[in-house]
Amino acid sequence: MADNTKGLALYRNQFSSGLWGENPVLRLLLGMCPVLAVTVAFFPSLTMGYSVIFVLFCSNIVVSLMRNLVKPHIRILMFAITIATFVTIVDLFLKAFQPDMSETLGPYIPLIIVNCIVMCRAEACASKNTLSVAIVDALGVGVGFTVVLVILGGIRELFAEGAVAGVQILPLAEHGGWFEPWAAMRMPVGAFVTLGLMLAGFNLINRKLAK
Amino acid sequence: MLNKLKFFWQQSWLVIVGALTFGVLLAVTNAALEPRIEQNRIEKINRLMSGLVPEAVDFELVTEIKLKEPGRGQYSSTLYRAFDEQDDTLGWLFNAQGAGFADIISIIVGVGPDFQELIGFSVLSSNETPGFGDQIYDNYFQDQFEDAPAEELELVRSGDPQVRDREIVTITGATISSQAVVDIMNAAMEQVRVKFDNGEFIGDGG
Repeated sequence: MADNTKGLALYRNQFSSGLWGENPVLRLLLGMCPVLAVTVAFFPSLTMGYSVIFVLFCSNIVVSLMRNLVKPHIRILMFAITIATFVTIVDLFLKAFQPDMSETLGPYIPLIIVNCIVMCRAEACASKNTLSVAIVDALGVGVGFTVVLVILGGIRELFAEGAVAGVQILPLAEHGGWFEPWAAMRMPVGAFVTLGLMLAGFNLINRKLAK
Repeated sequence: MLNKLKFFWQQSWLVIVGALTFGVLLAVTNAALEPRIEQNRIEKINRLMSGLVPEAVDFELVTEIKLKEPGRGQYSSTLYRAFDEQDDTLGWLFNAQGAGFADIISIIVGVGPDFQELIGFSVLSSNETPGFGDQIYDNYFQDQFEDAPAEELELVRSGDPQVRDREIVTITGATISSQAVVDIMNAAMEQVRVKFDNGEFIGDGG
């Protein structure tokens, strides 16, 4: 019973650290390339998020299963071909079932191969832990990454289009409303400013929690 | 020698097995999804061609031609004939490509039945900068090509975009993307025109 409770606590900690304590975007500042590039709107952010979750999930499983077989000097090579395989599968699925989204995301799906988050979790967690811990870690980090992307994408879409997830929230001036869209939010500057404010907010909350 | 082979196998068996396994996995996934991906591509081309020549009842694949990309290598272009219910040729459509600001820009060009005027163009794929270069998708830019003479086009910084002539007014803040589209169009048109003048793909409906 005590072992079960201890195990559950371990999984809970592993999952929540990916969400908050070691959030890949807000705490570790990893994977900045897709964070800044694809968060022009809610749905591209969500698609990038679940693509990364899938790749993290599959690569962590494979890396954890082969952790006792892989020799130290070839581990990065093995991680790279594992990650590249699952990224290519995601890319093919998007091209087949979400062709418009695949075009919107452009090269950023194939670029998950060099995303530091995936390689980092393979090296720091999956290659040193059991399968169950590796899976929980992948889900925690993946969900943490996705939540930040979706919030960032939602904020940018709100100020750039007056909508979130395609649902009009702020009445546009061109349709008789009062809201004038902020073109800057569609551009990289919008991503940098919004992410900067989110990082400031995250640090502020952490500082208050630490007191 | 045997010891060396044994050492090589001990060090690398996982890489070899892993590469083979992942290779098979990718091959199976690709084989399963390729027909659907190809179908999506064809549907998109048909959708864009229908947008360019809405009065066409269908598009006939005429031939595959090799075109030279400005300053780069060759690429394969597919030439279609748009025709109406009487099987009269309404225009010719082909894909063309070239380097843009961020990446390759791929477009579909529509030309009138006798190669005298342009029908217009549609963007097949591009990764131009959002808010700037991606304005090549906008009507403001694309409409300038509609009914423009099918001769060498020129990009100008100022002018009246409503006038249909060989001068294309650039997109503010996206001169490189605008120039890229004009260059792609000019290069492809010149090469396709030679083939047209040689009678290489005159359909029976024209």
